[in-house]
Amino acid sequence: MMAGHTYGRKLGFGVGITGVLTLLSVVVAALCLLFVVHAKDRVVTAATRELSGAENLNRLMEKRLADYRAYLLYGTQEYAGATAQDRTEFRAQLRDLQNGAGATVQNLLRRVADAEDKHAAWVDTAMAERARTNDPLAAAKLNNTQAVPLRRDVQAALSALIDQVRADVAADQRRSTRQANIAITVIVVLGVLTTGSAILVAWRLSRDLRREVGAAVGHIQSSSAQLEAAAAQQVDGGRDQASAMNEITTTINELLITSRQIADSAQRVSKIAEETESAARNGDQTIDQTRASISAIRTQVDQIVGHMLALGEKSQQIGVVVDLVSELAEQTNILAINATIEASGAGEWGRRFAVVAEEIRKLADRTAASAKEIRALIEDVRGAVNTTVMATEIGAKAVDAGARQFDDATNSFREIVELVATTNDATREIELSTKQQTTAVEQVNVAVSDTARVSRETESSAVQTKQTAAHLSTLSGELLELVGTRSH
Amino acid sequence: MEQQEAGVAALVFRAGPLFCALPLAEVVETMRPLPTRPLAGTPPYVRGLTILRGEPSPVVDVPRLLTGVTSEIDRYVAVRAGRGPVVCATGPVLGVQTVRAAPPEGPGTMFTGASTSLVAAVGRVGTEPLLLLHGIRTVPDEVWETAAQETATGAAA
Repeated sequence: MMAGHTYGRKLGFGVGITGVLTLLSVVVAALCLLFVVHAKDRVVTAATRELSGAENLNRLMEKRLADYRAYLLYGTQEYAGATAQDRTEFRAQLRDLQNGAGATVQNLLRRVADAEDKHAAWVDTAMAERARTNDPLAAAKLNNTQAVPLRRDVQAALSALIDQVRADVAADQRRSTRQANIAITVIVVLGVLTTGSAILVAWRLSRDLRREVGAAVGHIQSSSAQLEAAAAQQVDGGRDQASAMNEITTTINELLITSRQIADSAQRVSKIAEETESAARNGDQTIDQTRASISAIRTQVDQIVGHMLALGEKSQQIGVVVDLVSELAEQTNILAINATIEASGAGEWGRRFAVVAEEIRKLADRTAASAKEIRALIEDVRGAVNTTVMATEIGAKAVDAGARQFDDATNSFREIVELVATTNDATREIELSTKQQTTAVEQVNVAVSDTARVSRETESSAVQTKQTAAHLSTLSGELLELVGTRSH
Repeated sequence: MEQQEAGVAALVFRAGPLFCALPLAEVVETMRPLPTRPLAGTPPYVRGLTILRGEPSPVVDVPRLLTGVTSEIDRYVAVRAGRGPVVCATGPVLGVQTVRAAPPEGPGTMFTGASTSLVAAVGRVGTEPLLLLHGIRTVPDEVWETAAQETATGAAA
């Protein structure tokens, strides 16, 4: 019926059944006990109230008789009062017994009351006689003749009452004992049933315990062995880890010192980079001024080239004019010579004309010589102009080349400025990163210290785990022995 | 000879390194060098033919004739030579001067051949020697014949 259920459910079910039976047994036992207690209470009440009351009536009767005899003997008022007091107590005790008594006892109590009334009447008579006669013997005589038989009736009634009460108590005792026996029987039956159920449940649980718990404990034992081995490895690993953590801590401390040194160096480098960047900005202004100066030089050189080219053109124009003059002079020279030749055959007038022609020729020669000199000078000027133009162009090219080189240098310088700025930024980042790294290393140092501490604690825990595993293995063995599944 | 010692009006010019003079009576005119066409079969000192005032005339390279080497030609000098003018290619023309020169003296063998028919007398200009030339008589006949043939060919054309 319970196949397929867990051991816990089985255990719960078995314990539940046992518990229900136990509870039922307890309830029944409690009811039986209440029943028995009630019966016994009734017996005890009867015994204590009725029997003791009856006995007390007898005692009070004896006490009254004693006080009555003492009065008859001594005739004092003390004993008369005591006798009256004794009767009052007797009647009160009698009334008390009449409340809640059975019919038989009621009859007996009424018999006692009647007998006591009769006896009391003769007692009062005897006491009155004693008081009247003041003669103890007369009173005793009267007593002996009248009161003693009545006293015996009272005592007989009291004896009957006591016997009846004793009989009632004994009957109640027997009834209650029977009821108690019945209750005991019921309790025993329930106990047997509960015990049988418990045994059955225990047997089933023991069987399942051997089957399931034994297997589980076997697994626990093997697992404990594995756990012990693992804990041993963990102990070794924890020791190695602790030693490694110590080495790491030492290394990180050195790294921390190095990081701080790097941070200081980065800070100095950042400061130098800032100074370099400031100097580079000043250099940039100087470069702009120099660029303006180079542009002005280039403009001036262009103007010089223009002027020189204009001068060359003018010189060339002058050369053309000089060539024309030279041509004219040469032509004049030829004409003068030819005129001289022609004049040579013309007599006196020819000679005069020849003189004039000769002068013209000389003038032409001088003109030609001057033109030649001018030509040479112009050539010199043109050569100088050409040389100047070439030199100026070379200078312009040099200026251009210088400007380009200066542009390159400027670009390089600006790249340097940018690189310096970048370097500055990078240095700041390095500085910041190094500080963060230092902080991180410090945190890592703290973490590693914590980790080392944790490693040591882990090692201790592993040792504890190993011991616990060994203990658990032992306990598993013992538990296997307890559940009876270990094969020896 | 006495006339030479008294001085001769002559046209003085340079022919290479030499100062030369031509009697003014033989000179027609001076001019710049004209376009000249070389002629085959002529002596080396004949530069060729040129057209002078519409007439073909032979051109004699005077520096080459006198020194045997070529020099720069600056002027053409037209001289009278019997059947027609002859053009002398010269260096610069220095002008008309009165030249006092004497026939060359010394062993006769020093001036023979062409020199005998070219140099009439020797004078000086400053410190430089001056050769007073005869008229152009040394022009070979075949030159004139060639010139005549050229003229006939040009007329026929």
